[in-house]
Amino acid sequence: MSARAASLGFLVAFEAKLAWRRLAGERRRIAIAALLIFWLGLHAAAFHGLAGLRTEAFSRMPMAAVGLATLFAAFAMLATAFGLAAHGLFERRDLDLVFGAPVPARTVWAARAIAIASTSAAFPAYFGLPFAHAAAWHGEARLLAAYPALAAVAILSSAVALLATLALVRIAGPRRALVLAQVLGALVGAVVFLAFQAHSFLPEAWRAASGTWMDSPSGKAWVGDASPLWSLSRALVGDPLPLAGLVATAAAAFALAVRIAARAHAKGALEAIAMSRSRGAGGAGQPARFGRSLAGTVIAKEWRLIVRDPRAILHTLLPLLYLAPLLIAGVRRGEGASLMAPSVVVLAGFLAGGLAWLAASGEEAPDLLSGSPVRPARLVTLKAASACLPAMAVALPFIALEALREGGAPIVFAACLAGSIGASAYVQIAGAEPGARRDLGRGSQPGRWISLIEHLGAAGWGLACWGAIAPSAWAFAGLGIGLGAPVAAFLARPRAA
Amino acid sequence: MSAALEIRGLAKRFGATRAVDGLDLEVPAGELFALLGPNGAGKTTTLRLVAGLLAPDAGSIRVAGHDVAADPLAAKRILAFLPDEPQLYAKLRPLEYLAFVAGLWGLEPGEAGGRARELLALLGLEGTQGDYVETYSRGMKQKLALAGALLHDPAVMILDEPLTGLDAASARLVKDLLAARAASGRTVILSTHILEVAERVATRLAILSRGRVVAGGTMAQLRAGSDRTLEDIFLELTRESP
Repeated sequence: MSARAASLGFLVAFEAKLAWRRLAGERRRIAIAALLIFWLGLHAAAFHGLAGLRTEAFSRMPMAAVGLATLFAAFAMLATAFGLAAHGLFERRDLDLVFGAPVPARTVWAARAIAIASTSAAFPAYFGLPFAHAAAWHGEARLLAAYPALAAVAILSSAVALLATLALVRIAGPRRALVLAQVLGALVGAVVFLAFQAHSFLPEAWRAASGTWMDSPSGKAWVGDASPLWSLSRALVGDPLPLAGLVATAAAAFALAVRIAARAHAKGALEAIAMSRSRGAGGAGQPARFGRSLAGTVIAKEWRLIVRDPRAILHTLLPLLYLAPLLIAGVRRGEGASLMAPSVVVLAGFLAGGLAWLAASGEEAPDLLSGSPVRPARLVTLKAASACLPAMAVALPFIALEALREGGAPIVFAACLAGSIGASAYVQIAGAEPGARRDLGRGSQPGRWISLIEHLGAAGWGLACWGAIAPSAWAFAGLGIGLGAPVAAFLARPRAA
Repeated sequence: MSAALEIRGLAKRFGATRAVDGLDLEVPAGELFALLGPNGAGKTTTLRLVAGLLAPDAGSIRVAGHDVAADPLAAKRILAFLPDEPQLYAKLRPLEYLAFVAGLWGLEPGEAGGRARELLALLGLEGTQGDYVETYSRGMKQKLALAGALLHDPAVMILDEPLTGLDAASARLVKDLLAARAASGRTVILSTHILEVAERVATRLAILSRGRVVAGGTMAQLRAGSDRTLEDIFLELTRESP
């Protein structure tokens, strides 16, 4: 029987199949139909939106705006590529299989790099290309350069992520490299998001000064349409020289990443990844504390597991990072009724919800707990407490600030805070599906409906807080939503087998 | 004196599948009892029902006289259950895991700490106390889970495929440990698909097929005077009808 080595096309097709199954889940036909319908809708919106624009309008597109949007998309792709590189290297655990097959290492790495690039480009392509199509329809065919530009940015992101992850393996070792790559990817995304909002955080005087600078000749040289900063966006709109430069850079980075990865493999540097699960440092370790009360035992265990797992910390804190602008705006623009209190109510609810999800759905030993002589309701209460206490602790200084503020309403604030934290924790615990902590790095997250209910509940308590302080009748609507969230979670909870 | 385990008319369905179908079983105290059966015979479901992790559709289970449905906490206080796939906390160290188990069972701190260290030493894990559980091999995880199950010195141990993932020396150690517990009057009930293990270590056996006990007793009783091996008996009793 003859065997022929798998081709690059075969491996890329296999990677595409895996990526599609991760994305679409079990209901693939429904997913295809929904994606297609929405994409056609996007096209219709783009055709309609761009219909009134003339050629001159396209040529006068402000490069700074297009450039910022392009940079944002490029960093988002890089963030995604980091996560995919970590997943492909560490979590699929198929390196032994693929490298045990008679396939050249370069082919395998090229397929992985292409798969990472394709997946990270999927989101920007899905939302961006309808506008390029619409522009081409309206006579701006040069905007079809978005295709090669997007592909080049995706390949570049993939190469950078792959090289950085391999460097992390070398510097920090395989076990730490996985976590570091995931943290790096998440931080790239969050930092870029915050950087794009930085202008609105600045004090009024600073913003005025930056506006004046941008109108000055030196400012125009940096951020004007002719600035080299916007080369990427010029490539995207079909300027031949920047486009050629981008494609050449991406091709070189791709070749370098594949070459280095294949060489690292040949030297056995990546074998450590396959072996990393069974290695241990040994030693006596810190003494464990026996004899805590049941409450102390359960709460200490939950906190320990979160503090020791950077992915868990990221999962909990990233949403807060994304919502930080809300709080900053709330504190700064607090004319009349303060927006600080409602912002903290919402954020503390989100924090409690995130921690509760980890404590309940992330339970790694459900059989141990079910088999122990402790009432399930007691354990659930203790898990909820482990989620609520840190959120309360984070919010306490803000209650003190509210008490010191002239016309502050610390009691209303504290009551809404308790409602938000309690409701969010309850919603996540009621909707818990055990065993997901181990899947955290693979993108596991709370159920969409449960998350929606939790977020609505926290937002409801925030609205209730704002309405009560303002005062406004909206407080009653907020209270209704805040109280309704746990009821909805109770009704939507998964039923035991 | 009541039996360590008494099951009457136990039934459990998952959708259209009858995992356990009117099962009757009695295990006297001080036995090392092996539950055998082909894949899908209902071994794991039976053990999970006994441990109170699943609710039966019909029938009753009594552990040392405690009805598992009516008084689950009393039954769980004297039970230990070891699942086939060890369930541990990746980011805890072994002693921290055992301290958590001790907290759940409300054990006296000094005694539990000493016993935890003894068990880690006995199972060859004392040199890895500084490691997180996530760095353990499959066999080490199995041994740590076993240490957790032994920590409260349970009167009845329920073990689902306890030798999976263990090397020859560890498997021997665990078999000796379980036999010693049975000899000291404790009861050990295990499921296994390795017939040789059941034949050599179990004092009594039951063979399950399609959720029912199709044969049970000591090896001598199963052989009924013939010179057939356990494998012969097992294959004959569990052969699927065409």
